[in-house]
Amino acid sequence: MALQNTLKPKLPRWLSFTIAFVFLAHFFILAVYHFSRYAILPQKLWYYAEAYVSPWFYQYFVAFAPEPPMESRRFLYKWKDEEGWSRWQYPAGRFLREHWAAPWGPSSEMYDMVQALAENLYKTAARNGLQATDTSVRWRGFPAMEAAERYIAIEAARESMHIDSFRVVVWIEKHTLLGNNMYVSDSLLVFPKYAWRE
Amino acid sequence: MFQIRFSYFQNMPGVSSSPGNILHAWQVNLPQRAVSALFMRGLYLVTFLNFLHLLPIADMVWGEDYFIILRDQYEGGPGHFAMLLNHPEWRVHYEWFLYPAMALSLLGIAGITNMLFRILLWFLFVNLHFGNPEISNGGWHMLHHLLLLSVFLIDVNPAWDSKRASAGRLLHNLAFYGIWVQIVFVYLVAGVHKLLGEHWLSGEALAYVFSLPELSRPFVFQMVEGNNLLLRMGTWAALSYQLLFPVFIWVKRARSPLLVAGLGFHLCIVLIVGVVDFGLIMMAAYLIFLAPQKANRIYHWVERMRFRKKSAGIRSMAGRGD
Repeated sequence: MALQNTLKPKLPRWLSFTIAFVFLAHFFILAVYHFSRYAILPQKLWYYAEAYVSPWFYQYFVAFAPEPPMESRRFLYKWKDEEGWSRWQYPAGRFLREHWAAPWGPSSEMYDMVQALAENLYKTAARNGLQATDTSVRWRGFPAMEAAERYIAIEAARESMHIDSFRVVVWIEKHTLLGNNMYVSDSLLVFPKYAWRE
Repeated sequence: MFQIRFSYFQNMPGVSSSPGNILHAWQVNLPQRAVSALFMRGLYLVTFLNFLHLLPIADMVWGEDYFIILRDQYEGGPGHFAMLLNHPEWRVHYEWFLYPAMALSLLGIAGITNMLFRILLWFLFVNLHFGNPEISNGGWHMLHHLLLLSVFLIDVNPAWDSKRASAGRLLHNLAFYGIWVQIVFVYLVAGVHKLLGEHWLSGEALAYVFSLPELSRPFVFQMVEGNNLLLRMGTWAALSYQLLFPVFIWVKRARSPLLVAGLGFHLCIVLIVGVVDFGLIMMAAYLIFLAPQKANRIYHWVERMRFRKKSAGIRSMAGRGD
């Protein structure tokens, strides 16, 4: 400690203030970025802050807010081979069971990636105002459907399946708390059947 | 002139808390060297474990067997270099990112690190993070920023007396408190945004969380369903913690009980909600709040254990005692 007290600061005042200012400015912009996203601060500030923050300083800590998750969207698919149509497959269910059996394993991330297929299909339909069952829509042109097809191809290779055609569905489970009881309602986004591409 | 009180300076004679004096003092003193050293080891440990547990599925997460949507909206700009694994031609070589990142983390756990290593590790992490945003959560975002700020936790020998040493100490002190601010942001942002909704204030939020099978163990909802008091208390406790942390973490006397409560909070997230990586990362991040005296004792104990193992027999030859 006595040795430390004999040391003197060596940086010029302007330099130490400049370095400190850079740190302060960084956190100030981050604060603006966070609190303008949902218009606590004026929302137009979010676009200015975003230009600095993304991608190198990107951060998102608003999970479970403003509301907790009240809906679950699940990816289901089935395929057709020479024996006919399979049963609906719910791959995320398997990963969820594996996750609870071994939470430190990678099943949680597999679950997240498969669930993302459903989220992206749902968002594609919602953002474009499209009906899933509308066969005139070129769903196969959307990245969400391509991603789903890639997953089915991985599963097909794993199970040595020879697929003629496939179909995907997003199963939406909505939870509503009324009094002491949780009510669950289901709906489906059923996408058209597609022939398998080699 | 506004006054800033930092508890680390309460015992320092002759230092008044004006910004200029604080910046001068930060060029000369680094009382939290051991805290930073322990924090970095904890950080690298959770980083390494995060990558390790994904190794069995690395081909699907970062490689060619992907089934996520690849996006690079920064094509042509510097941001593109954070999105390299969003291009198939780079995904073929994801090992160039993953294995060096794991190696650098391991070296960091062993205390072998410098600014260049830390910058490289951060760059690799950013690419791995954006290489699959679907597996990202608050823990990944925290690691992203803690690894960035830890670049500036430059270790400076207390005896060094030069411009470079002054700059190193200043950056270290700024980054050290920057990490505090970053962790405060996590709770402040999450807590304040929960106030914008309806279900956190009404106490119903946890009921929704536990009702979803992906967010709670199968038996949990059955146990708590209908127990409105428990669910409400849990909801308000979680909300209160997130709103109180940003205020009371700066109060020395409140820090220990707050951190103990936080460890409990994050353990619940690990054990009940099942978000293991986020819980572990936040608990590791809490090392930054250790008191310097405590950190010094722990750090020297760790170093003594290492030294003892390495030099068994050599010590007696050198004539050095305990």
